[in-house]
Amino acid sequence: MTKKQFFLVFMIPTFIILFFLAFYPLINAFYYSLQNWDLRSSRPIKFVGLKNYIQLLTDARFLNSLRVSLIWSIVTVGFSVFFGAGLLAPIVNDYTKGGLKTICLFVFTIPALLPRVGAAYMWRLMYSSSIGIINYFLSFFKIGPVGFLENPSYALYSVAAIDIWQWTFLITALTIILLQDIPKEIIEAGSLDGAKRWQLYRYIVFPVVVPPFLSIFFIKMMESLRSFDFIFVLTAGGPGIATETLDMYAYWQGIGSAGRVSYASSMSIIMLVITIILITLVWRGLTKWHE
Amino acid sequence: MARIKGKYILFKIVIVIIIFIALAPILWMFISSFKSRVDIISYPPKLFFTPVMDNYKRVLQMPTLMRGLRNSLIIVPISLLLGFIFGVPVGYIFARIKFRRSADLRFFILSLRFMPPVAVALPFFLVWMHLKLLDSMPAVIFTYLTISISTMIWLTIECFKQVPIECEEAAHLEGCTQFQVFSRIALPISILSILGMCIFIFILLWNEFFLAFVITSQRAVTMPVASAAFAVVGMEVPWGQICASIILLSIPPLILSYFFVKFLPYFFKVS
Repeated sequence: MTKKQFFLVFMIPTFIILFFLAFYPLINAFYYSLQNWDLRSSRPIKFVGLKNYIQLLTDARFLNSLRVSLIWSIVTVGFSVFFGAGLLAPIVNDYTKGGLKTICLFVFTIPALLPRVGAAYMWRLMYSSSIGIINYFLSFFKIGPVGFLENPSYALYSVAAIDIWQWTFLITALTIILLQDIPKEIIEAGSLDGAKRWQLYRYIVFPVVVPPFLSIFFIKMMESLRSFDFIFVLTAGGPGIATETLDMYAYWQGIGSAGRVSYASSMSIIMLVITIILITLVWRGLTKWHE
Repeated sequence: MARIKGKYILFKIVIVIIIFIALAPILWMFISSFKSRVDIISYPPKLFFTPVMDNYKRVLQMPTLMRGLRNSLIIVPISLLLGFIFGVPVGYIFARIKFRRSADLRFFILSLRFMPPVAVALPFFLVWMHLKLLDSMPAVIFTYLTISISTMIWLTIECFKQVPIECEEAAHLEGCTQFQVFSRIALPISILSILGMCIFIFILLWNEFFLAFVITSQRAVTMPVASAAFAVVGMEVPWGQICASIILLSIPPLILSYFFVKFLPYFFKVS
């Protein structure tokens, strides 16, 4: 088998499948989004142009879900990166070694590898206002009972806390691994020259870890768009629409109860466009900033 | 000196607390899964109680959950295997063979992971409905190829790049064909790191909820979907059974995470 044959034999089937998996849904979603298809209605399906998109712009519930998704992304990315890389990683890296460090690395990856449905239930049990252990601890301080998931002003942040919990520890573990790649001699030389700890981190550690760290940041941003599992198990978008993200709303409209396929398709197309713009902007910004 | 030592001990305590926070939700659910019906809804929450196996016994007799467990044990390995067959050789090609548009195709593979799940799920929901395959295992497996093939290619590119190029060149000179170089040299050398990636993808697929939730309802439900069904059961939440089923759901990822951590430093260089 020549190089060329090898190339063709393995590339063609895989890319036929991948192109199908990628473009089939997209083209279909776009096609449906221009129609007025409704699973619950028997009227004939016809093209309505951009009507669905125009309707979205005036749909208060859609605009709310846009806002909720935006808050979700900012809060979960911001806090998990800040806690993980900024706070926990330096502490754990400096004050553990050998076996304890290995244990930490192992323990810190566990939350992220748990099924998200499972993690959601674990926290739902702890958040409960009637039997939850968090409210029990709060009662020592004469606080509560707090309706973490029942109060519209806290619900979104309570759910976001679970995502932050999962990702903070993973980012901590990944950052520690990054820090271990830095040669000890450089740090020792720096501290012999009288550099303070924060200076060591700022001028020696920081520049080395930034490039791989940016890719962690990037991955976390992408993953923060996948909030459905947590929100479905904990609040299902409620109370009211306080935690209804874009994917939650699109799900209810298209598949869940309403069956408005075309309307939901136009939402998923908008999500895709937002995602692409966001990725391009952030990716460009990050690489430029890094240079 | 004493001050430095004091600070050191203080931070040791902080680290123990950090570890505790990482594990507390899992431990609490594990403890609760052995509580009787009365103990679990008692307030203040009980730390000491007589452990019972009732929840597990009951969960193991629930038809939906057992079907979910069985389906997951079929769907996940098959998707992984197909991901391996279609993904690994392509990962090798990206790592070793230069061709036009290579960078563009790699970005395309990466972008499969960026697609909003709803944008994938909704059209597939309609396709499977048309083909009368909604709520069937082939539909789930095929939809999962989006995850398994793309992740497999993306992760194995780096695995193959770390194979010493000299070995491959020597094999070429010996007269091996390209396929033999791949199957007899590159694959055996990098097999351990590829197995690490397989573990990661297994966990990814095992935990996947949204796509399965959309395209299954009864017969083909996966374990996460079956467990999440408790969320809509009604007002009285059967906490004991939820805890037991979530622990069952979490056992495979927990066991595999031990192996995964061994490969984590490696995985890191990949991203």
